[in-house]
Amino acid sequence: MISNVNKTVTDITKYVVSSLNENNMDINEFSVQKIIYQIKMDLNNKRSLYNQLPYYWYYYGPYSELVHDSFNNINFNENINHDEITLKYPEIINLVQDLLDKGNYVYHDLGRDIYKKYAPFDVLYPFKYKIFNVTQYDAFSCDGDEFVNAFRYCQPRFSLNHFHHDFSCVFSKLAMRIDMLNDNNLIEDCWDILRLPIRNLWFTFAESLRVKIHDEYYDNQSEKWNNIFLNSLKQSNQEIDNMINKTNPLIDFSIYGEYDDFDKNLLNSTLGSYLGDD
Amino acid sequence: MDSIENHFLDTNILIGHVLLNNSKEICKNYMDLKSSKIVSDNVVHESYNIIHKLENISLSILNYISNYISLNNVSDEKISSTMKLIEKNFLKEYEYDEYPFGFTQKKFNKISRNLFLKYRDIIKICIFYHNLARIP
Repeated sequence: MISNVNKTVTDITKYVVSSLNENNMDINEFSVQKIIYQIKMDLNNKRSLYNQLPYYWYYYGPYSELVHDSFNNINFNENINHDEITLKYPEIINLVQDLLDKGNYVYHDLGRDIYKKYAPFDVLYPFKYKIFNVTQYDAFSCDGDEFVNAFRYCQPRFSLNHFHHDFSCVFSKLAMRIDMLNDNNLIEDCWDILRLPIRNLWFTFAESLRVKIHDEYYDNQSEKWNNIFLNSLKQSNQEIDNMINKTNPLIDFSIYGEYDDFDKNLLNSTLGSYLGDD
Repeated sequence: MDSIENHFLDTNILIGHVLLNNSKEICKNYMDLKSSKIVSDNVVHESYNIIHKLENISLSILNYISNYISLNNVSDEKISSTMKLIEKNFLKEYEYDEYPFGFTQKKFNKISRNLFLKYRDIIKICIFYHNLARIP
């Protein structure tokens, strides 16, 4: 059965690549992965491909190793003829045509739409597009308050998923520090120190994601993935600790002043009840 | 070392990290000591984790409340009963979780109940103003 699926996936991949080629569009693996994921979701439960093509969520969105293998097996030197490929599901022709008609949509907004529609948790979209994407540039190109708000929006949402407790602690450590740096107007100056830990934290999150959110096909790999995730969590934690030590002397702690009643209540009810007798 | 003494040290570090100004300096200086330090780094990390977990709990509660009042219309007369309902529903979400936010059920319930209790007035005022802003 697997070989059957392999053939179907190879055909689809070939078809998508040749269509991209025909329209003189850039061919890269990530957009092919996304186009095929969109096709899978459009085909819906009606077709068996929906259940047979296994995906998991990873660094740059949904990712399938089958698609990866068949993309690498394509020989780009020889011309792939459009008509020679016989697709198992003929409606794919229309679906691909619809996507490619929109031009650059495939490279920019398709990923965005997939994250909005199909992401397993609602924290994924803001984490990827409001935090991770900002770190792709050498200079800080975002409003400081907006950046902090994105962190504060994501922070409580991790723990709702029941398996991110350790990760959410590391994340809130980072969020607290970003908040402090923003109070001191230091984010732009410290961007070189901040960029890498934030980027790596997103990659760590993506690794934790594929441990739990993957199709049945990958079940036997989840233990291996879990070890990879734990290792990179350790590393991320170390990186953030280093970043905190580096930024410590820059921050002016005296601007925080005394606690008001609101803060005292918070301390009383959280720390007090943690330390108090049962 | 005795477990009671250990707990006492934990408490000091926890509070030292949270307190501002002078006490923060004292705590920081103590942490920078290379020798003659009784507390291991593990204890420090654990204390940090507790602070962040507590922060996460309070943020999730506030988040839950803001979600609730933006989705449901809460009339001014029913604010008190709604508060009770929100508390009950929030705790229910974690009922079958063995370690919610990394705490035991009992401790988690205690912390969140305390938070709801201490914030009752402030949350009531928030809902009231939210209703005022809705009037066209």
